[in-house]
Amino acid sequence: MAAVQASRLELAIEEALVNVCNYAYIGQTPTGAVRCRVVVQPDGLRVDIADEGPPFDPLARPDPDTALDLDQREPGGLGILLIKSLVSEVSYRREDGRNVLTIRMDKAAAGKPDAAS
Amino acid sequence: MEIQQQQQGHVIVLGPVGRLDSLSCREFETRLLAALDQSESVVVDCTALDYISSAGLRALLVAAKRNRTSGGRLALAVLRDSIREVFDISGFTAIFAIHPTVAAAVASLG
Repeated sequence: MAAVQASRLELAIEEALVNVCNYAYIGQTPTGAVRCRVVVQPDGLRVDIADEGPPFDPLARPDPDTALDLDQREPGGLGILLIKSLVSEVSYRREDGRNVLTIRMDKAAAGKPDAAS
Repeated sequence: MEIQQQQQGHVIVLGPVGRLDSLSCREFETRLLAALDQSESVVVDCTALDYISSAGLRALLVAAKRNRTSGGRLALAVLRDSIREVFDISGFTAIFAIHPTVAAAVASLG
């Protein structure tokens, strides 16, 4: 995988895992598990991140308005926006009582619109 | 995380080294807020910063917002491409003063 893609994927996975750690099991004792499965594909990697918390689709939340000026910006919400912007594909599904976030990353950055533009 | 600190005139230059992520962000935020308490002008030198996640962005935003009300000034210097990409996506390129060199950042606060 191209270094630039690997570094984008690393960030996306941190954001997804931190999201589960911070929110999936709020107020629950004992807290639950998070499972991370990596599937090697011919043209890239697929990473499934699953938790057993209540149904929650992180992709359904509105993105923060990144055009606001400093006074109006509030911390938060950037993790999911970064995932959406950096990876080749991301999707959510509820399956067998789990929230599953699937991230797919192409090996090569070529052809992917520049997320920075 | 290792955070280098030096004084250049009245400006404090903070240099986080390595990864600014959900594990290191709290320490960085504490150091950044302490620097802003100590000096009205702070530069964050990102030369040795390899990686930033939303937790690191949050620390910067918290500091910048507090700074706004306290009249302090904060500038960033030397963002590598991967970090600039994260800044661009997050809208941080527009809300932070970002300079190509530490010297330029320090001069901008002079």
